[in-house]
Amino acid sequence: MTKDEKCDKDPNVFRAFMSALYNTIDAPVTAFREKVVVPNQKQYPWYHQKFRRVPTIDQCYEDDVVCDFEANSQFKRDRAVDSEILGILRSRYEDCMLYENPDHAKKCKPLWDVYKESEEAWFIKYGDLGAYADARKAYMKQKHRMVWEKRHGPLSDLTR
Amino acid sequence: MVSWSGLGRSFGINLLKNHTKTLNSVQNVTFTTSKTLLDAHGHKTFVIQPSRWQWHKFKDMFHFYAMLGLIPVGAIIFYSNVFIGPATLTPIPEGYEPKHWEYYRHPITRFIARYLHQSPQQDYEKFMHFLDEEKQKQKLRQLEKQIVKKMGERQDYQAYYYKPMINKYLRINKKTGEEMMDRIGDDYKD
Repeated sequence: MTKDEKCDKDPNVFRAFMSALYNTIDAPVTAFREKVVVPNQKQYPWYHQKFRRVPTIDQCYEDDVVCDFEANSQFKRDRAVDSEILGILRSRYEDCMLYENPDHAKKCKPLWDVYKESEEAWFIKYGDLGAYADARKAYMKQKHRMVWEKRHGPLSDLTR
Repeated sequence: MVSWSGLGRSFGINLLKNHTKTLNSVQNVTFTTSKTLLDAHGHKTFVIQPSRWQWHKFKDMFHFYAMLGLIPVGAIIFYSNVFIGPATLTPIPEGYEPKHWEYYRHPITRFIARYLHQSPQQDYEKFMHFLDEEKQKQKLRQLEKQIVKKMGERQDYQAYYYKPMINKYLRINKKTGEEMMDRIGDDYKD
């Protein structure tokens, strides 16, 4: 136990005992961290990679395989990022639900609405394309949806 | 490997020399080469008991792999976590392009990315070059196919469908004929 901990000793015997018990493990670990690890560690940065935007599939010539590949790689990156965003929104709602239960239906409504809207937007772009989806398929899907909407009206508020 | 634990065994036994007597006489085996096996005053018995071979083998191998693997690798992991530590996430400074291993947080991951793996950008560009070359080959093959087809249709060009003749044997044949003609004339009858 360190010096200042001795000074303000806990008047509650049980709590003092429990904290002493806790400190048998925690104090050496904290001391090692403060005395050895923190002063010796180096400070250096790491970065989130940023990719330059490349021409999308609708700007590529039909026989330009390199452009096709680049657009496709970008599409897959975008899909990964969008899926990750969706996952964050979902986990926000889930955390709220766990915390606010049983009032989650009312209290977490805004988070739920945001999540549902994002899910819909995600599905409009990436849904039903399967695991082997590529930029060309997504582009064709968009085209077919636009043709359908021209004839029958909008499918969603988001494509209005 | 085996000899190490053999050393260990005799070392350990020599440390506990006082206890060896009872232990060994019960188990009727000795783990030391420096003592005689037989206890002069006891009964000379041979107690049949299960083999301890697998247990000794296990200890040997555990010793071996701990020395070779766990200890050095553990030391490296300990060092890099305690004395180097994780990087801190920072926005990319203006006008600076990070190296590809600078996108990782942990020093060991950074080491692997830097010295063991290829640069992802390099791989990406290499693959695009490969794609481009393949596409060009494809285009050339397609063109060749078209040309061959047209030549086959039109039959007007001396390639693919034209086989040049070799006149050497024709000339020899002709010469032989002329010689025969000279010798026997053209009014020869059988």
